[in-house]
This record gives sequence, C-alpha cells and structure tokens, in this order.
Amino acid sequence: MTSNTKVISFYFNEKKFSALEGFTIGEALLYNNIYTFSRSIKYHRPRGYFCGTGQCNHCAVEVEGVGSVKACITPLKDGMKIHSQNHYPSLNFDLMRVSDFVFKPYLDSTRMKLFRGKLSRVSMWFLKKYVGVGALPNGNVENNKIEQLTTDVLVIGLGKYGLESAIVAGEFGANVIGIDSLPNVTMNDERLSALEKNKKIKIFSNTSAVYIEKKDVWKVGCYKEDKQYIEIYANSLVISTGRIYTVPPYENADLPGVYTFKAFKNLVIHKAISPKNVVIDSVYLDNDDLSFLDKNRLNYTFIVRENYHKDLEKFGKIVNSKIVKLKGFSKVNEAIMDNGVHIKLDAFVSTSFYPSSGILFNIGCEMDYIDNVGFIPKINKYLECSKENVFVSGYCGGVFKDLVKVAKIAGINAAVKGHKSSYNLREYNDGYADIFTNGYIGELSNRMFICTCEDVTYKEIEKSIKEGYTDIEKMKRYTGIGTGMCQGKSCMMNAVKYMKKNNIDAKMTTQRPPIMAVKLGSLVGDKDEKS
Amino acid sequence: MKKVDCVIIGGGVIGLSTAYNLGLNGFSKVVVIEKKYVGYGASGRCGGGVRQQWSTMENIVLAKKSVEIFEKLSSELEINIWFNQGGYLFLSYSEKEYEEIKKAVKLQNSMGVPSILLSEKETKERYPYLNLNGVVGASYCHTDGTVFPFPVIWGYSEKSRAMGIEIHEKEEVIKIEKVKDYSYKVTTDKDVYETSWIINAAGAWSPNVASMLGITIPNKPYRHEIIVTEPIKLFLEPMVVSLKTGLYMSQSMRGEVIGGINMSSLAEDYSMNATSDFLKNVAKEFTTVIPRLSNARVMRQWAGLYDETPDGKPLIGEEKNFPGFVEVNGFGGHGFMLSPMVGVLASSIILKKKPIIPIELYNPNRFENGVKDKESFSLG
Repeated sequence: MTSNTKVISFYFNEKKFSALEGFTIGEALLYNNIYTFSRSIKYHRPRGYFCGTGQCNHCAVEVEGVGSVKACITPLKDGMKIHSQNHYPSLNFDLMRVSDFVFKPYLDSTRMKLFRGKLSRVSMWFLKKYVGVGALPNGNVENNKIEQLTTDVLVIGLGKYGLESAIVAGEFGANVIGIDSLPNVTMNDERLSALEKNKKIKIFSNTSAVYIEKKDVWKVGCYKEDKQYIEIYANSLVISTGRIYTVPPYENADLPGVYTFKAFKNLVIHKAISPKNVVIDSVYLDNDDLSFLDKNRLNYTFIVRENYHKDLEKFGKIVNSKIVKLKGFSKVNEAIMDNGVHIKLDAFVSTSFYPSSGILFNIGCEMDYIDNVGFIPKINKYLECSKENVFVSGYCGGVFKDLVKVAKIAGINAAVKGHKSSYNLREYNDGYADIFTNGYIGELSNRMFICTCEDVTYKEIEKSIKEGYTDIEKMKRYTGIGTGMCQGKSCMMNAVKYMKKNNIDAKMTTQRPPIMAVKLGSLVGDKDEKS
Repeated sequence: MKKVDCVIIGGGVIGLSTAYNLGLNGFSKVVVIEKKYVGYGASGRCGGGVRQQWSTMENIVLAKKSVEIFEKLSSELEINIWFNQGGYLFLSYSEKEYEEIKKAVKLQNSMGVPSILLSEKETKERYPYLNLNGVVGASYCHTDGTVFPFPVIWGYSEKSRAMGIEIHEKEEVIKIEKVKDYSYKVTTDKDVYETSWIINAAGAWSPNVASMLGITIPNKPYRHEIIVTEPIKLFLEPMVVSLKTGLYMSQSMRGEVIGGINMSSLAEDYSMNATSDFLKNVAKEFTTVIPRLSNARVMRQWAGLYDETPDGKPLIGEEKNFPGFVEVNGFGGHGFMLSPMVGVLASSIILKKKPIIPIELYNPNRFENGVKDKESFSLG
C-alpha cells in the first residue's frame, strides 16, 4: 500500500470516481470524500466507515449486484460498480429518515404493541414493500469448491501478537497457517522477513474463521474473500482476535466521521482520509498507538480520564472533561462537553474496546466477566483456555502486559505439545481499573445506539428493562439487539455492561455459528459431490 | 407450600396458550413453571410456519382451527404477531409423493381447508424463481403462512399475567407426588405446590416430567437444525417445502430467509449444538430449489428439539391411571402452529367443557395397541 501509484476507476451510484490501486472499497469512497455509504435499517441514518475490520455492519454496500458487502475489507477493483443501500429516493436525500425524528416508538420494540389487529395488516403490507436491504442477483458464487487443509497450528487473527505467535510456532518446527479478515496484513520489516524466511508458515489474508468444531482435532471452516469456503484441520489453535471496538455510547456516535482507533490508524497510513481536527476519546492507548500518533502528527484533541498517558501532551491538546454527546446530521462535526465547551472536529476516534471474545465464546471456552473490561477467557499459565489446545495471544486473551512475551509463549505451546513454556499469571489482571475507565456513557437519547445493525437505542434497552425483559436472552428477542448482521459481536457486550450497571445479573447470550455470514453458494462445494 | 388449582410445567407456547385459555374462563389459580425462560425450547427456536396441509385428520383439524384463531390473535393479544398468510407450497418429486399429496388434499378439502393441486407448469408460472427440476406436482394452500413466534409467546404471557396467572421463570420441577386422584404435590427448586391438576407441557422434556410419576410416554427428543440468512428484499411469497428432503423455507417480515431440511438425530442428552455438516447440506438444498439464494449469506444457525411421538400426532389428554395429570406434548415440529387450538382443547379438559374436537383422538395411552395412521407430512 505504501507505493500507491496506479489509479483505477470505479462507479458509486452510477457516478464515476477514481482511487488508488490497493484501496479497499471503503478507503476509495472516503478518498473521494464520500462518507455516507448506505442508510441504516430502521431509522435510515447515514452510515459509513467505522470499525475497519469487517466486524460491524456500518459500511455495507451493494457490489456488482450483491447486497451487504463490507466495504472496509473488500478490495477495490478497476471498473467496480458499487451502490448504496436502503434509501428512498436517494442516498443523500432519504425521505425515510423521517422515522429518525417522528416515528421512533412505532419502530422500536413497542412496534409489536402499536401495530396490532387491523393495523398489523397495514404494517405487513408496508414491510413487504420496503423491508430488506440486500440485493440478490441470479447466478452462482464463482468459486465454490471447498478446499481441505491440515496443519499443526492455526492462528486466527494476524495483528502484531497473532503474527508473533505464528512466527514462533513456525520457528519451533510446526506447520502454521495464519488467517486474518483484512486484505493486507501489516507488520514491521524485521518480523516480515522472519515470516518470509520460514516456509512452514502460510498466510491467508481476507479470510475469516466462521465455523469451529472439535472433531479428533480442531476443524475450522474459513471464509475467504466473501466467496471461498476452506476447511482447516489443526491440532491446536491460537486465538488472537485482538480488540473489538464498539459504537461509543454517545448520541450520534453511529454517524460517519466516527472511527475506531484501528480504522483511523489504517485510514491515515493509507492516506484515505486527511482530517484537520481529530478528537480522540482516549480511554486506552498502548505504546504502539502512541508511536503512531508520534509519526502522524495531526491537530489532535485528547479527551482524557483521570489517569492518562502524559506523553499525549506532546501530541495534542488535553481536555479533561466528559463528553455529553456528539453533533451532526449526516456526519459528526462537533463534540459537546459537560462543561459546555463545543469542540469542532472532522474525525472522532474511539479508543475504548473489549477483548474480542466472540470466537472464544463460540468454541465454548469458559469466560470471566470483568467490570468495564468485558469477557476474558479462563486460562492457565501456558496461555491455554478451558478447551484443550486452544491458546490465546494478544488482547483477546485478557493479559494486557508483556504482550509480545505472551504471544511467544502461546506460539511455543501451540507448536510443541507439553513444552510447558509458561507465564506468571498472578499479576496479569491487576490494574485493569487503571487502564479501563470506559464505564462512562453519555446522556441517554433516542439517537444513542447500542446495536447499529438493528438500530436499537440505549433508551429502548432502558425501556424494555422497565417492561420486565430483564433476562438478556429475552431482551435480545424483544428488542432485536444482537440479531443483526454482526450477530452481536460488539453490542451484546454493551448490553451486558448496561444491564450490570442496572444491577441485573446478565450473562453473555449463546453464541451461534457461523461467526461471520457466509454465502450459501460457497458452502455447496462440488455440486456432484455426495456428502 | 402454595395451594393452586393447576400447575403447568413448561413455559413454551403450548403451556402459555393453555394458561391463557384457562384464564379466559376465570380459572386463574394457575402457575406456569419454566426451567429457563419463556420460549427457551422449541417455541423460541422454530421457523414459525403455520400450515393446514397434513395427511392425518387429527393434525388437519387442530391446524385449521388454529389458523382461524391466528387470524384474530393480533387483536386479541394486543400484540402484532406478524401472521403473514403467504401460503405453503408442497413440492413432490415422485409419483408416489404426488399421490400422497393428492390424497391429502382430498382429505383437507373434505375438512374445509382450501388447498389446491398445482401442476409443475402452473407452479413455474406462479413462482418463476423456483427451480422445479424433478418436480412432479405441487399442492398449495393460500391461508397457510408464517407467524413471528416471539410476540405470540409474549402476548400469551402478558395476557395470562394480567388475568392473575403466575409465570415462574428459572424455576425447575424436581419432584411430583400423587396424593390421590386430582391431588398432587409438585416440588420445585424454589417452592412446593399442592394442586388438583398438572399439565405436562414440557415439550422435548415431557418424558422426564412424566417419569417423575413413573409414567412412560413414547416421545423422543430429536435435534433439528435451522438457518437464517441476512435480510434480503422480499421475494419469496409462500413457505416452500419438499417432501423428498424435508426442506422448508420462508422469508420473514424482516427479509431473512429461514428454514432447514430433514437431517435430525436422536438427542437423548438434549444437546442443541449446531453442525457444519447441516449447514453444508442445507446450502446445497436451498440453492438447488432457489438458485439465486447462492448469493445470500447465512447469518445464524441453531438447533432445537422436536418432541416426537411414534405416529407424528400429539398427546392431549389425562393419563389413565393418574386423573388430573394431563399430557399436552408430543407435537414434533409443529407445536407452534397448533398451539392456539391446543390451548383451547387442553383447557376444556380441566374446565370439564365439551371439547370442540373429540379429545379421544389424542389419547396419550393410544399406543397400547400399536401405531396406527402415521402422519406422513412431518418435515424439517
């Protein structure tokens, strides 16, 4: 991506644009100052680039006739035809957005009680006409052979730490496959050469783990480039899914212009955006994040809590007060603080995250809930979870110190059964309170979203708790939270947190496969094959 | 120790519909005991299909009466149940299957169900997006359709509660003792209840409840899986089913295509795990019948338990040797669609009202003389 030279063209809503080769669709749109990619499902709010990792559903667009393609992880191709979704009559002037202002109670969970009797027929007529976002072209998925591979170690997630585990496992003699959902695996040059030297390590980018089952060994269904299903049999797994960022708990934080730190970092490095004023909600930044800020000096304003990294003062302005809400109509342009100060901004960056535990829940690992941190797996000193031969590396493991060392230990133990390379866990979860103070949420409002796939607001959650839907499973079914396209990867964590805040003993809901949505056509395999 | 008139074991749609119908008749000293939360079992895991196209009279009559109730239920329960009467299309892939469909349609028509036969050509004209390779003929009934299961459950619970019926969630029955006829003691992990009536509406767990009194019922739990895709613009009007593969699929009011195929397994350990084998097989069947689904992404997959009887027909009635202990279970994969009428029927036993449908048809002790007239349209 560093030598972006070739210019290619693409169409967005029939209009021709150009962008640099190597961009994802999302980056190409932002590069052309297009911030709204599509409209949200219920209230038709503008949505665009947010998480940058294919986890959320903000950036879904129609590509070559196929609906709900994630723009942030799909590489742009020359001449590609892209359309926005879910609006009438046009993306920038959407009459249906009126529901965001006047029809709220008719569309939230109480809709069931308002549209009843004869009205149920009217509401169904309307739904039949207007519901559904994705388009469905005729024709098959181009590549539908199911490939089967065998390896010693499978590393899921190739951030800095997953990659470290993969390299170490390879150095200890194991055959390693590493997968990552992003199209480009980024790493520093030294580790890159270590990786390239070792022929035992295979890397699949743009590939997500979608189905994990325990047979004699671990069987992991992987989904590559939104078309190819691969089954990988591995003796051990290293889960390194890192951090998951959720929509910040402020009014309008679902709008374009709000990015997760990871997304922001990639967009700035790839030069897809060049914002003037950047507000960073600084809950947690590690040394790598700080060195990014050092290398990419912009006009930063840091919203900080009591304990903040003093280095931040070198990179920008420090504001030590709370955010009440964000302002903007089609893009966020202002943060309003509790001391009355309005901060103008072009980009709002959220740094608060949860350890990304979706895959661990799916495997059935035992998890602990830690206040304001999220769910972390129960692990032993070999970094192994409650399920045999499943190791954790990086932030998703819940160890936030010595991450490189931890990654190496996970890699060694995954490669060599019984190596017993270990880590002193005694102190690892001390000091969570110092780094995480993301218990704060802004002023409750009808435009403060907890689940953006299904457009569920914090107010709606509050209301359904009052109506007696206090069990998280019932809440999920009543409000629709977590049933959307992202399958609750981030919102359920927020719901658990919010319910705990309201003194309700909430657990995580049952996680159901597939971990990421897969095209039916990709699962068919060889049409003649009998199974 | 609490004294009540009736203990309903199981907070699924069958138990709740029965509770609601008891309440409507002023019989409200009723407590519903649910081990997890209302709708945890098959009620909250089903595809929401409502059809009257069955091969046996017992199922047809319950389904027909239930459709009549579903049509008014949104007003009655004051909640929108999204009863979408898009019809059910039965596809047959052999002369033998088509003969069965023809026979069934005749029986259905004789009982007032407006099902019709469609030739392959007529089917193609109506539903051009279907791949009808190998289809011999079809049957269709326009008053069949789908409901959204959750509002039905919430509606029944909220209305029952409003009439004074207690619904106890996260409470588990651990012991049942018979004092004498029409007098039982039910012990849960939270309380003890003295009651004249017990309703065993525990779905797949019903055999365990019955066995607390030493009763053996022939039901077996089968694990069935189901998938749902991402929302897509509505295009699939009817629920499409196939007798060959047990395939069923429909599109919900949210635009999701939901359905499964017949690939079940006996689950005596009550496990409800999903498998990639099912997903791959269902993908093959779905994309064969509707090729354009090849580009639809599957979003979620889960499993539930069918409470299956040897003849595919439910058990509704008092146990011969235990007057006051009423079985209302064994609904296989079709309890939800029959629940409105089953609630009326089950409550009539307790209220000593003359039932609208001859209750002996569903006698739980009918298997003593073997299995007769097996339902052949059980799907999924």
